Amino acid sequence: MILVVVEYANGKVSKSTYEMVGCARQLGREGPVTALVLGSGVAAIASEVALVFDQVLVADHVDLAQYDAEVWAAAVAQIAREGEANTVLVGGSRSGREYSPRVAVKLDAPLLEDAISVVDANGTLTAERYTYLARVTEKVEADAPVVVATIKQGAFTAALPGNQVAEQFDVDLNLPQRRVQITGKATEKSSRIALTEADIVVSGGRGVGSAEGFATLVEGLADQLGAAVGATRAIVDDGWRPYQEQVGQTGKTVQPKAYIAIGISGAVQHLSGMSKSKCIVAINKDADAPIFKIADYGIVGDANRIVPAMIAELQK
Amino acid sequence: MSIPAAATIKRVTGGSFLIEDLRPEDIFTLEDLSVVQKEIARTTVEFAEKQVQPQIPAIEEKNFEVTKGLLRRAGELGLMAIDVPEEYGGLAMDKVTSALISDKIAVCGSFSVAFSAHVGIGTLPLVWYGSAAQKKKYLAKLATGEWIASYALSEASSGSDAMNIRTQATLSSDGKHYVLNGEKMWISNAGMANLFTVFAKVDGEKFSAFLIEAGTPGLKVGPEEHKLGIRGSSTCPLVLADCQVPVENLLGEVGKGHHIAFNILNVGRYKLGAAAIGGAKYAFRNGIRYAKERIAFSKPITSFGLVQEKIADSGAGIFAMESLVYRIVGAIDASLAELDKSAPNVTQEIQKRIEEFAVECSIIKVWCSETLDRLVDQMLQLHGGYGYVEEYSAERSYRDARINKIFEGTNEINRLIITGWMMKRAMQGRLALLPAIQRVMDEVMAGPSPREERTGELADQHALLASAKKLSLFCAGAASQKYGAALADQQEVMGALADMIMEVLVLESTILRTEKMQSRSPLAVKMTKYYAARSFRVLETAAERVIGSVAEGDMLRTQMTIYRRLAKHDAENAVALGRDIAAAMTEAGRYTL
Amino acid sequence: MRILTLVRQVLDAEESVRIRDGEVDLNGSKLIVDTMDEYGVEQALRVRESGVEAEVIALAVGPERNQDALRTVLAMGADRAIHVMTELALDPISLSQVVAQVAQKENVELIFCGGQQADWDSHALGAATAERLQWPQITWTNGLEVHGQTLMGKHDAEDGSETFSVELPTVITTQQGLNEPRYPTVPNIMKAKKKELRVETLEEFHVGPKLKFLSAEVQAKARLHKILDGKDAPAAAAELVRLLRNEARVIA
Repeated sequence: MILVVVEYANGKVSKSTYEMVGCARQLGREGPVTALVLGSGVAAIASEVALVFDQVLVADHVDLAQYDAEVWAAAVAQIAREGEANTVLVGGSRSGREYSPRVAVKLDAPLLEDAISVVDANGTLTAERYTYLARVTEKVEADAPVVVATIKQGAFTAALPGNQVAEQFDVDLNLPQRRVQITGKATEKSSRIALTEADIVVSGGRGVGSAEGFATLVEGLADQLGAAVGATRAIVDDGWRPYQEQVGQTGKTVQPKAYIAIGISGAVQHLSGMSKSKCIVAINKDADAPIFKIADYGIVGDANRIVPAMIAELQK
Repeated sequence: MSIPAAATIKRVTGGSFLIEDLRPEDIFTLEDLSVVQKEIARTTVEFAEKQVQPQIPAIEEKNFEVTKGLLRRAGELGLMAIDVPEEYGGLAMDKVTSALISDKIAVCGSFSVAFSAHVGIGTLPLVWYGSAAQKKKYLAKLATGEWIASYALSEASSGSDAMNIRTQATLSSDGKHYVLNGEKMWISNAGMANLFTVFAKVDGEKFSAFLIEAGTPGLKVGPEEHKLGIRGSSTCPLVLADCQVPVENLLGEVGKGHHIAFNILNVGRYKLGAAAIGGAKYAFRNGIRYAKERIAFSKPITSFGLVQEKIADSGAGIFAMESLVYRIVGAIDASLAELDKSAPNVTQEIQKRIEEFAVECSIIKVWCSETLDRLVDQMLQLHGGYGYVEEYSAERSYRDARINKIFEGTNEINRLIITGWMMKRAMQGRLALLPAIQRVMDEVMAGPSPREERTGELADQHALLASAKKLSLFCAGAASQKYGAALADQQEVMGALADMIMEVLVLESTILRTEKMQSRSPLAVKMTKYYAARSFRVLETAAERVIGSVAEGDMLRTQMTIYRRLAKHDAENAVALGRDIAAAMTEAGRYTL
Repeated sequence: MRILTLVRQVLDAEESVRIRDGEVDLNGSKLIVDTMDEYGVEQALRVRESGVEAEVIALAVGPERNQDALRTVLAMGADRAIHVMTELALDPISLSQVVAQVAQKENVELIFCGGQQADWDSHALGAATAERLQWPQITWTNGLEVHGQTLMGKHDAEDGSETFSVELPTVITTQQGLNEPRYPTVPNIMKAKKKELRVETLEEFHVGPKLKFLSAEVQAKARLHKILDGKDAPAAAAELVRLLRNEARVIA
């Protein structure tokens, strides 16, 4: 079977789950495309995904209320083993990328990380993925009875729910003790659309001058366009913006239809998080800035004068 | 602790390159760096790229707090303690390491000048001439960057003629102070320095140096100059009005200040060469990156021959600068390594040994400043109109480079030193130039001789080098025959001879470095060939200038015949070489080997 | 306590990536210690400097040139280094086998690993190593304190950040913000010359790759490069909005 670990957040099935189904269907490997739903009080999630999978395995248990890498890895490996999975698909989310290596080690399987394409040729999987800060596309091959893969968000076409409702099975798991105690949580909530799901991202760097400049220019333009807001590492380090808005190597990877970079010079680490955007727009007063080299459109000039003029133009 | 240069480096005497032939293993090259030297270079690069580079806008706006903070940071890393003895908080390392730091730190002209002025002319006079008490009081502070140093020699009416200063020093009646009066000009770091080395004449005649702390009554720093380039460096006049300097702050002896003033220059000159390499690489990288992205006629402009030619010429120029500077500094280290560091007169001995290389230091100064100048001009040109506006760094690099032909002795003064020093050594019998000239004369009089057959990749370039040496000796002989001791008054001839002498040293350094690499870099071979072709054109131009001015009539015809025979060579395919060099540099997006 | 800190030598992000014969060619390129690994080295040094009796061991696996990276780390302050020499390209899952064996042999209790490697763009090494050792892991750590056998700190989670507490032994993977790595100072560079750098060969570990590398290519998307001069801000802004609306059609 092809085992897909269902991703969901705030009671909703994530887009990545449907993308994994899309990936699994296109792979066409032997066996049913099987969902594994892990959590506590996840009946609704299980019913929702039943419209898109061949079968649904549900582990609804209070011990699974909170995510833990060791617990998740043990659960997924156990089901993969018992179900003799040939493929285990995990979302490319932060937690997916965290526990999937453990699953691979437990199953003595190769790990295809952050795949942007996967093809099955006579039982051997060939995957493409980005390397070198997303500057290189690498092709690798995994030849093993079972392969673990995480898939890049947005790389596969999401499968659409049908009329067929797949059968659900409850599963029993032998879960290990948690060893990491989570003693506190701080979630940053934003009224704007999530960075990774937005069609337009307006992003700012040091060139906006200050935290206030960011609010006026970047948030101002984003609100005008209904866009998400992004930031460079430098200004996150400076405390102008929360880490959740950071785009780049150590932050989020985005590929919106339009990425508007304001006062961003374009360090490679930043580019690695946004260089796959469909259209890149840059506004910077330094004409030498590397961001212009990957820009489709741009203005060399002072963002403090240009962005307000753009907002005014859009309001016309 | 010091790190000896590779043990095989030959102990050469200054100026001998014109008459002796060395083997590749006799010279030091960048490829011979020790593990420690490479690590220090890496630390310097990190510091320059991650800390200095992002601050360039602030530095250029004369935000001296930023510059001082960066100097302090460099001090914490140990980058300013290389030439300082261990007992005064220094690291007492070799000169190659010190040159490497000057090279790698030079991503911003303004900062590079502030750094050099501090560690070179700012700190070294104290290292060499300071009393134990003076060193104890000031050196550790300078080595850590807690204090910034400045060197004040020039005056409004005394620049190249440094001995002509007017600033006066008079001993006070109680014998406790010298009272200084006068004005200094073009003083680097003046606006942020804590300690000044000031030159003045005691009783109007005895040239002497004094250490003056900032804030000393009677010492006033004038307003910042508005300069063409290195705008972020501090350059101010200094006014001394009855400035009372304690007698214990006299540096060295009364009347012996000229030793300080002149010996420091040689170090300043090779460090200038090292900094030129760093500045050149920075401008080169930005030029190539621009050219790679700039599209004209639907192609990146790097695909055009005349753009490639500029990239190739600039790349080969950097290669030659590196070959020259590190060869000479490595030779200085080899010479200094023989010294007993615990001997009481060791600092005098160090200076004497560095002074041996005065002509090489002058060559480094002139050749590197002019090569850098040509390079920044070519990189600006690659930008077209964009090179002429401040938004691109090409403009700043272009302006910043220019000062190098002026300070540390103008290139004119240094050209006169190059030829004059060689001639003087020859007359004193300390350099066997005259017998060598005689041998060339005998050889040409004997008629065409069979060419020495050489094999190897660089056989043709060796032949060019041999011809270059003979031509230089021939022209020097012809000029001194004509003018005798009065040659010194023929500055244009002296200058042309200096051009020839410089090319000999650079060409030899380049060839030997490439051979020492033993074909590990095909690109080095190509750059050597490319540069050799250009070098020989420079040499021919200078030779004709000398011959044309010293001979006429039948004599002129005879000498031109000899010249043509000596200069005979086949043309290299510089176009093909240039394309290959440019392709490699363009792919790398920077200078590469 | 012994701390193992993993070091990967990667291409400097400022360098262009060159492909030769379908592979990334690092010859002649500037190579550096991965920044994410530097955070780990720095944190290990800070643990030692905080008064915990600790020995910091740096480990690199790869070709001979990795010794340059290890020397840098020794100059930063690591006590000794181990280089497992190989020309073989190992994927993170197989590399974790080497790391786990070294950790056991050296009896280490804490491992630092970069949160993501700048060559692989991978997060897997730390987690896979922890699994092989049957240790817990903390990923994307940006704050850490050692209290006896307990580690406390802060790390990035799916949405926001979490504070955690975990007992040794543990694998910690790094995230920006953990610290500001120091540069090797000249005196420390000179001291590092005398430190131990032990070389071992991969054969001793009986590890082979789990993935077969097929090819690499640089696919730069062709960009339009329509860059306007912004001296006249309203005109440039109006033109840009027009282009985005009518030509690119990305805004309404």
